[in-house]
Amino acid sequence: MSKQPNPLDASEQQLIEHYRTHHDLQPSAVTDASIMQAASAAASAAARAAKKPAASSSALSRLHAWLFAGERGGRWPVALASVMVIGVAVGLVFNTVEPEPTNYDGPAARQYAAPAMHEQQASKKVLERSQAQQTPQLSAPSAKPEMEAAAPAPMAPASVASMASSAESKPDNLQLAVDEQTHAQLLEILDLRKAGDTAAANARIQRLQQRLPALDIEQQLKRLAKER
Amino acid sequence: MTQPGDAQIDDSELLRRYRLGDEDAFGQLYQRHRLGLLRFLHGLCNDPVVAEEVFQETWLSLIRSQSLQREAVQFKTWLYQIGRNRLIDYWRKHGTRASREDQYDDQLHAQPAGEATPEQQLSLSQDRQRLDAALADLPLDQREVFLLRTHADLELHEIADITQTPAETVKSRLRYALQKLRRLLADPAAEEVNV
Repeated sequence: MSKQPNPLDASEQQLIEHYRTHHDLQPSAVTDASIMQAASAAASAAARAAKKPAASSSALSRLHAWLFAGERGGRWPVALASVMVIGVAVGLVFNTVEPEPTNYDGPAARQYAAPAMHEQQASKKVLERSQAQQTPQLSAPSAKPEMEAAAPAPMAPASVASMASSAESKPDNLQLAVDEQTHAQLLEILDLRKAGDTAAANARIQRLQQRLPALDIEQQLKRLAKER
Repeated sequence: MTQPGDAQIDDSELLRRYRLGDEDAFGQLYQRHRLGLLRFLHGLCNDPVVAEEVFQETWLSLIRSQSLQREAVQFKTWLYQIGRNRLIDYWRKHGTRASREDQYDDQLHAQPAGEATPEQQLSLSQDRQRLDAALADLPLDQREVFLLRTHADLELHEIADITQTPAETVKSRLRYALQKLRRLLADPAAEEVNV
């Protein structure tokens, strides 16, 4: 703010000076002494505080000074908020939730994974079942081996079909996958072809194919032809 | 310690030195402002005992305070602000505010007092009691402005800061105070006639 010019004229200034010069009130000596004594004590304390900068420069004292400086409430809320923010950040880093896929890749992958596992389990079951059928032959070779080889356990058409579908990867089990009736029909077809009756052979093949759609008849015929 | 010959050091620097432990710096500050502050307080309350008590409290509160005064405010303004507030606190505490401390009425005190003639000015009383009595006749607002101008030697804008009053109001109060004092001191019977 700029100083304003003195608005007083000479007579007014004279009156003020008159009051100044004729006022002789002074503080008592006791008041002067008490004030100077208090000032001296405060100055000594300030001088002592100024001579101890090392004690106040430690990290702990600086933290203490920072926390209790500032406004009325100090800086505790700021420090507490900082710790909470750090805690939330650490929690988010170590507990990240895997995001749900927004495209169609995720569900498709799951649907694809389940049948694969099912197929694997199914093939494992077939393998175990076939091993269970072979095990008596190995463990008891003297217990009517001819009968067991000639009369395999009856199987449902569906199981035959499923086993036939996996016959390519398991040629050793191929013979077990064909039942006696089918085996006889295949031999008949071979005989008809050998006799030159192709029409009758094809008719038998069609009927057999209708009964067992999954069976690879031609492959079975080739195998039987080789065995003969 | 305060060096000899540094009488021109301003109040802010002396206060800074004192806060660092320089006792002599405080001594200089005290010598500069002790008379003005006491006479200002005495003029306001018109009681030497109360004035000295408030005077002592003012300096002790300044000593206890660890803060430097605000940058934009002079030490003197700060000191008189503390003294004024301490006196108001005393009045509130003791309920002894003078009956003449009514709010200043511009309309009432805007009446022309008449210019003092040279003869009247020459006849200004030098009697201390007459000076004090004339001062006590002033409304508190006018008296405060006059005392701050006389004993603290403050400018009008500084008085406006202390009293938290517009500068134009301070200016008019000072003029009315001077006119009334001149009239009272020139002719003590004038006040009795007016009353």
